Amino acid sequence: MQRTSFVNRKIVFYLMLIVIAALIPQVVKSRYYMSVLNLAAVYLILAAGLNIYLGYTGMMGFTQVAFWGIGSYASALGMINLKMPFWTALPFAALFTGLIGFLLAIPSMRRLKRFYLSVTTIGFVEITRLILENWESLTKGADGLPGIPRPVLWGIRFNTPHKFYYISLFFVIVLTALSYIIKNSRVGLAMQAIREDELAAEVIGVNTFRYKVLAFTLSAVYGGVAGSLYAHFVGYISPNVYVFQEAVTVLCMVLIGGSGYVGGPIIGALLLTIVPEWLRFMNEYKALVYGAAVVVMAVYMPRGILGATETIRARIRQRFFGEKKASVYPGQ
Amino acid sequence: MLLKLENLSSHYGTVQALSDVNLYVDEGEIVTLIGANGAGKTTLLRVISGLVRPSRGQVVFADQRIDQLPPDEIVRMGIAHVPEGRMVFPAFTVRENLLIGGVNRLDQGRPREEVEAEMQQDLQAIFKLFPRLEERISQYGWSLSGGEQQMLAIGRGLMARPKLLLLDEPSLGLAPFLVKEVFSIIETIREQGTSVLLVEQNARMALRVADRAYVLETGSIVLEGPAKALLHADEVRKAYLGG
Repeated sequence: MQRTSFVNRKIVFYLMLIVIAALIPQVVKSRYYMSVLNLAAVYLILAAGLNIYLGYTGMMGFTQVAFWGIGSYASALGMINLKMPFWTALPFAALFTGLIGFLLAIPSMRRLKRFYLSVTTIGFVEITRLILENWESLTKGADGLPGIPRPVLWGIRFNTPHKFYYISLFFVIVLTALSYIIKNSRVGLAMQAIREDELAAEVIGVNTFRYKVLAFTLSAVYGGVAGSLYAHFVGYISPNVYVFQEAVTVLCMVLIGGSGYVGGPIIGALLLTIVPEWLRFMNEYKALVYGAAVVVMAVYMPRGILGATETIRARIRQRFFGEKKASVYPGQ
Repeated sequence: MLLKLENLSSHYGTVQALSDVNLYVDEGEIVTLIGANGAGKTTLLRVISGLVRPSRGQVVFADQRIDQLPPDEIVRMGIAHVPEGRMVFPAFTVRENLLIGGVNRLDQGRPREEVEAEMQQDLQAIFKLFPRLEERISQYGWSLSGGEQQMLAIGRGLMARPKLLLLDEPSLGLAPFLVKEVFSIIETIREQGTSVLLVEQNARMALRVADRAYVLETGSIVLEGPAKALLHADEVRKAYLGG
């Protein structure tokens, strides 16, 4: 009985968050801040994808930025060259990116582990950027693609940050819900078993190869959606957006928010897109601040902000409510 | 014959870990494999469960060659491996640790409700065997005592519904009364119809519960026979039972 009321309280909490998120454009009038929020949504989806791969399955990688680029170009070119409407271009970009992710995962997951895998993903980021830059007949090279059309639905053109925000929010909710469902399913359990102890997972019959490929492919699909949203929100894309630095940013978002938690990428992405706006005056030092934050987190909060709050809540329960059992895992 | 190893050899690089091992386990048997550290006991179990490929020879399980199959398929065929050092998932609850042990049932394309019902039923059976695990059902793996972790590891193995259970050093690091408990559980598991291949350094206890035994020395089987006979054999007494 207690459990149901607990679950209900959680659902009410999530619904409240969604309502608040939906009311933001009514309150915030600044186009500039709404643009920042739309970009935050793009980063959030990128980070949520990385979270499946890094947080659930425990593999290190930087591919998210390459998937972002592939998704952007697939969606933009789908709309410009193939005359797709946005609502076809976005799923097309997601599936196309997912396919690329799948094809990369098959040989990589079969042969590589740990940092060899990470290095491969760095190589993939560079190769993707070089292809986007040099396949001029398709991508227009370093000049980039201008004039990417805005989404239209029921006669409404989503051509302002305020309107586009609802599309962003919709995909954030859908993909976060998907992350939640995956995490709490048997598939998610198998992925997390790989993170906890890959050998043990193998011993008890987890097909580690399959789940790693699945996690990687899913992260690519998330990257594709994020890319599509980005392309149609900004209206102009060029290869120099999808650089390694961005991969590090997305990684920081997951680690700072709390890797492995469904809410981790949300907190990380919002924090790392909104706070820098307040710290504009020290823009050159952004990378320095990120780096320092990650080092501090790694030492004092290895499970990110959400991991730390979980620990603190458990300590409070133990101290003030006399709860005896240790209910939190001290570290990964 | 449930499991048969024929002329099995295995190498780590150029180092030979197993040479020409012949061994079998019949249905309903407890077979124990004793030997010193580094004799190749763990390697032998890893070859059976598909984690290590043999360099020569074959592994036959239920009349099928399994030595080239991946570990998850071997689990699905009915061999569960309870690894040395337990390898309980620290950040998983007891319940999750057990459920993940039944992961092999997901990929068989059977109706979801049927699998769920079966899993619940098996969980109850495991709680009957290990009441302690039910008491700790929502505690995390890392917070369990060594004995509880061992029980959890065995329970996790049983969740795969094995015909053959491979146990690697289940008594390692346990207090004497827990060692007794673990061994009596091994006998119960056999009574419930699961064969057991038991690797142990605690030779005396292992030989008491087992039907037959093999002695492994630097990768080769040097002695085999009924467990009771080995318990009294001079070589075994001197080398493994302390005189």
